[in-house]
Amino acid sequence: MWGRNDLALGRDASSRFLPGLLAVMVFLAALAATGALSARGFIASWDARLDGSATVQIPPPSTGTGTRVERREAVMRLLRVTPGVQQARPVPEKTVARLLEPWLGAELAGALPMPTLIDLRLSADQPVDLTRLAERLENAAPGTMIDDHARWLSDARTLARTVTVTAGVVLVLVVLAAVLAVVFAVRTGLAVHREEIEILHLIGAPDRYIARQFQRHAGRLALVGGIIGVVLASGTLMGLRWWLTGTGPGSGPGADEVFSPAGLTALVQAAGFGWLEWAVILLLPFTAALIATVAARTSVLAVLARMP
Amino acid sequence: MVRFENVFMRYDGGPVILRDVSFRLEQGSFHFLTGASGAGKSTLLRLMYLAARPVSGQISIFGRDVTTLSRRERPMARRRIGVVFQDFRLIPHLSALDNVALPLRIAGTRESLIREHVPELLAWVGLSGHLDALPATLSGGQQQRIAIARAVISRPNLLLADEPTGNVDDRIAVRLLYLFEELHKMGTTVVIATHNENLVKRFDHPRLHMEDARITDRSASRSASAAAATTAAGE
Ligand SMILES: Nc1ncnc2c1ncn2[C@@H]1O[C@H](COP(=O)(O)OP(=O)(O)O)[C@@H](O)[C@H]1O
Ligand SMILES: [Mg+2]
Repeated sequence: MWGRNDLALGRDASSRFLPGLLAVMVFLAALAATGALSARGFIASWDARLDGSATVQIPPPSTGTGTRVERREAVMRLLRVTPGVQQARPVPEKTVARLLEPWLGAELAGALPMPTLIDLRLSADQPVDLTRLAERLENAAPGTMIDDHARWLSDARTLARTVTVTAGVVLVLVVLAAVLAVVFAVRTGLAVHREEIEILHLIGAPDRYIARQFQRHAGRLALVGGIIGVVLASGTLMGLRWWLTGTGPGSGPGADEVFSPAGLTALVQAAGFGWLEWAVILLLPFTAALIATVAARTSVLAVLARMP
Repeated sequence: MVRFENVFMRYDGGPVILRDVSFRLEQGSFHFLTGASGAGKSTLLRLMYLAARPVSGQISIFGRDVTTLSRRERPMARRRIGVVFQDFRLIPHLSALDNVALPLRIAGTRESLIREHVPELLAWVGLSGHLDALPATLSGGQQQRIAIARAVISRPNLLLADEPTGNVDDRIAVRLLYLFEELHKMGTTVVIATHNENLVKRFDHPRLHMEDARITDRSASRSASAAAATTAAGE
């Protein structure tokens, strides 16, 4: 791969612009790929976390509806006897207050009456009829609502799909642009080195010998550019992660924290940056080199084949 | 080895260079190619090293009609033909050694063999002190000797030299001619285009003479191996 070059392609303009161009391409590809992978990881993680869970929300008591504790106990009694509800756990008031704090401010959150939240774990084999349960909850404590996060998860899935498709489009465009850049460089090189190529032909070089000179050159430049791009992308991603999550590694939010800003940050962190993401990133320079090699070889052979 | 049959050659819009020319060069023959400047010596050689195609007629080399060779087939045929170009055609950014090594590298010869044979040959042509020199730093005569070394390094079956001694004095010219003689003794068919009447006289080889788009055999040679070179007039 690092063999000699009879054509001194290293002195061509392509040696100056191709690595930079391919660095940008690989940088974009790295961001797109990790964006897509993160979105998938994010959804998988939240599917696992939220699937089979639900949250019951009892609004603060108003006149004639019983006390806070009465209402909560009525709901808990009902939940305990509902088939399919494996566990019902009231969320401590302090936690609820903390959740609302960022939205309301500490003072207001302390002063306003809080709703009561109950975390449910639902059985997988015994599906709960949520519509019926909602009706019965309304009877037990008027104004009570149940949310199984289905809607939220479905929105999040749509978002993840959008991110994935966008990343896919970006990747295709990046590859296309990289191929075009290599083809352009190769065609320029063929024109610049026409005389030397003719000499090589006259002393018996087949087209693929010429192609080899160009493909090595392009592959090497793409590898260099790819490494630069990946270093930049890794730096950017790590910086972004650090900025979004603060320094320490977090455990991700609990189901009851999903809707808080702190929860959002934790989400990004939960999306995680695992070995798969790193493997994809580390493979990018080699992928770029391979694509450049194939593009260079193909275009050299195509141009030479049209010669008499 | 080389056979022209009713070959007609002219460049687009140019004068007729070969008019219905037929001749044969036997394997292992040695010919001088003479003729006035512009007579078509370079063109004739170009037809033989597959850099040009005739307008009509057949040219066979090594027993194959080369006017119909495909792009894929040409490189293998060319590797059996060593050419000393009139304008040398060295690759400017390669050293003397790398220029001479090119045919071997193209043929996939082991690098250790290249390191052994190329300096040896360069020494023979008097360039042992210039292995790493770039062509531009050498004189015309030195460049010409690199070109000759490159043409003979792979021991071609057919050696074509276009005025290979045009830039050197007679003493060196004779020495270079001995190099061709060596190849000739090993069985290579040699054609040398030259202006140098002294050389032609000094070496006892038949002569092909180009004039008026025809080739005449002026061999008057005593050499038994001299090939018949005949012109078929094509009226
Ligand atoms: N590539 C070319 N295109 C057009 N005409 C050419 C070309 N090469 C040579 N000629 C013309 O063909 C004639 C023969 O040239 P050439 O073969 O170089 O003769 P010589 O080598 O005997 O001096 C000349 O008139 C020359 O101008
Ligand atoms: Mg000439």
